[in-house]
Amino acid sequence: MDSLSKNIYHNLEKILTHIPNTSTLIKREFLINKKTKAMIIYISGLTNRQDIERHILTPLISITEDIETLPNPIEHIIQNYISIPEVKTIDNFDNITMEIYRGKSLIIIDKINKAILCETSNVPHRSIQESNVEKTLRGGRECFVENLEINLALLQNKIKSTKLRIENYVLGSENKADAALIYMDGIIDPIILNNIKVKLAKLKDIPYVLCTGYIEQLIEDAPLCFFPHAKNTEKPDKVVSDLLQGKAAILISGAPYALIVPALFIEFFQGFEDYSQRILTSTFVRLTRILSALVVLVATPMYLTVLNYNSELIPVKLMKIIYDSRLGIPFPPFIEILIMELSVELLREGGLRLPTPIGQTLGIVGGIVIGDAAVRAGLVSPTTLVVVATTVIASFLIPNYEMALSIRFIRFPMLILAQLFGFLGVIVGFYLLIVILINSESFGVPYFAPFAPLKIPDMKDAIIRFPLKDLQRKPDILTIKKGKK
Amino acid sequence: MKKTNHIITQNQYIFLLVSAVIGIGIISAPNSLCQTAEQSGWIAIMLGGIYPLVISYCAYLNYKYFGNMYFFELNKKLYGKIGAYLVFFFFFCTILFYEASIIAGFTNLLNSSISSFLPVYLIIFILTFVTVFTAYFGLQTVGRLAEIIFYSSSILFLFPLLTFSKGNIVNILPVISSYHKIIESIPSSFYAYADIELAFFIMPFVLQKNDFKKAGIKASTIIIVIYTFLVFTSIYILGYEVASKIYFTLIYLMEVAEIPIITDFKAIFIFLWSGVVFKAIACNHFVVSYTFSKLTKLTYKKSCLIVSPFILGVAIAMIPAHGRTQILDKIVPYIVPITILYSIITAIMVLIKGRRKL
Repeated sequence: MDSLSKNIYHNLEKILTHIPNTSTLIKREFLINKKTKAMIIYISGLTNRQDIERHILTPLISITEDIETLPNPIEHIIQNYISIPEVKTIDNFDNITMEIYRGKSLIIIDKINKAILCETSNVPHRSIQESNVEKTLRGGRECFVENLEINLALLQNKIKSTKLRIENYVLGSENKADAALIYMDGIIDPIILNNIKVKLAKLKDIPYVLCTGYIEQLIEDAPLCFFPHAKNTEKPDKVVSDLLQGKAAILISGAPYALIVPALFIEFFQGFEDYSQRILTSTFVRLTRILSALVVLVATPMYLTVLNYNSELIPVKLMKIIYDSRLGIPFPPFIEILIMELSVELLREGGLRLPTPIGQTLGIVGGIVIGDAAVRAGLVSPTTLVVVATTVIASFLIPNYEMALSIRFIRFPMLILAQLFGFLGVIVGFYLLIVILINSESFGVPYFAPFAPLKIPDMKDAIIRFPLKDLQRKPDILTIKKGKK
Repeated sequence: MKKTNHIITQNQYIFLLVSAVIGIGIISAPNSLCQTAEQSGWIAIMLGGIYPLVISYCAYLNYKYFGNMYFFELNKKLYGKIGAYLVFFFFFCTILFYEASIIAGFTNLLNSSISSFLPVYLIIFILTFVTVFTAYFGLQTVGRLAEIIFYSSSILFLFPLLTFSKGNIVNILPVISSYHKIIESIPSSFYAYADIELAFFIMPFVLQKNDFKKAGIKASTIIIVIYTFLVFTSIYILGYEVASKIYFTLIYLMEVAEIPIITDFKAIFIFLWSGVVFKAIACNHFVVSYTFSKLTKLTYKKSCLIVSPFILGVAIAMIPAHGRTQILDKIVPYIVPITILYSIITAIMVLIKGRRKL
């Protein structure tokens, strides 16, 4: 990389080849000791102007000594005149663009082939608010914002341990997003950590990385798998809990989320407040969530199977009710269920993007008005509506959005299998899902643990939650034993 | 998805053996046993338990004297290269035959119950696909599956108790029908324990063998207890005369179970039992693919795919229940003694060569 020259205008020219010369790029020229030309370069909107004025410009303009004759003029200025806490000296153009975009101010002085980089950043960001997505009943309300420094500060404030490690990364060869890998040294398994670091290092060459979702897909082992292999959360409390259990968190500038790796399947059904609630109630809630996932997966396929092929499964009286409700319905059961399921997905996806009041209206109009009208018009049967509506409600019990979305998606292939092969299709679909889960790994950790492979100590915090004093801080499965045959 | 991995834990070793043996055979075991041993069928199956005990002990001897040597290498050492190929060819054919017979048997069961609207060829194709999909990723996947399915489905073995109240103590009396009949029916009970030979193949892949002898005994005991319990319950509830006339005896027991809301508990039982059968087929498919890969020097994954059309073909050929029984009756009396003979000869040679090595 080019070194800085002694000519201030030559240096400016060089900088302008990397940064577009727009109105936001401020190049303020001034004189030191009324004779030495100097210039401060920064981007307005990303910097704190008051800091620049008070702690950089005012002191520098008021210098009355001849800095040109000093042996180390840059060090002398930093030590005696600049009152910004974070300052560093640079002698080449390495990363200058990135630093200026981070909100730092660059001071270049004529006849000196070094420059001063001052931390003056004041990047606009949201204030810390309560999460709209991850609601907690018992626990901290604050959630991450788009600013990496604030997010890191939130975590550091919650873990005052000497084991806490934060490693900085710059991801994306074009957008050069600041990112950080956070872990607890001595708690995280070194093999898992190395695995994460190797994968993160590869992201430097990817043109752009915008948020944690990009990182997740780029570093996970099986991007085509149905299920998420990393957890996204906007709650610092959850990150802290996972870090202390031996996991790592990845934060990236511009994303109010942390990516937690590795992640196990069962964790997506565990809520943060499970540990704050009474043991029995939290266990009951967990069981309800698992049951809801099963309902989402098999309720409609089983209903379809009963209607199409295996009506002998349920009592005659119940079958009669279902049969009577379907009299006059023009569509075959599969099409009827598919229409209903797709309508629900349309309403859900539509409501998701709309502002809350309009979203609620959409839900009411779509769910109640259209649903009722469809039944009255004889397009769908009331029993089908009940079954589909139950699966929709059940899907909202899954605490993780990505997992809920995955499970909702899987019910479509399950439905097709049920239509093609009946009961056998449901069996095969369910079995294949288990095989996929058993086969999956998240950063070298078996995804379906502690069920397969069976880890008895970790079962204390799987479906049933044992008392906190009996729980291990770090699950057994997060320690990879390098075995030899 | 991870790469092929055959490493398993000792616990998985136990459940792989249990899974390989307990599949579709257990559903019809009371039928075949009661035909000869009458009400003492449960004693015959218990005594037949000597077979899994002997085989698992032979596997332990292999480990004791030759460590983690692969089964193919061990055979090469004991019988030479040609001998090893012959042994592997025998096991390849035997296990392929067993696998196809399980697929055909389960196809018949499905076809006569929940999937009567599907053509049998389609059912066989689906079952083979599921098997290949499971075994393709290696023994580790099959091992984990065996472990989780055993734990989650162990309650199924108690389901016949739902109809226990319909039983009568007279059905199992006198306890000994005839010593001659019991001894006569022991060889046929060996077929129920077929596939325990899996122990030879998977032994070298067990990661930590803390108490390997005990693991084999534990697996055999679980198998014997489950078989004996189910055969005893079937005879106790149905009586040996009815049990000897109904092919899928266990399914019939479920059919007569009265559960509120569910009119046909048989279908629910098949739904839950299918996991047990799938893992049994997957265990067999692993051995078939593994032996084939050794015989042809192809990779395990390629072998896994290549052998599937053979299995499909043999399974289709075995679809007629009567024909299958005839084939089994003709072949099994030869397979089991050969396997026992081979195991004992191998054990003796292992003892001789192993001691000399020590």
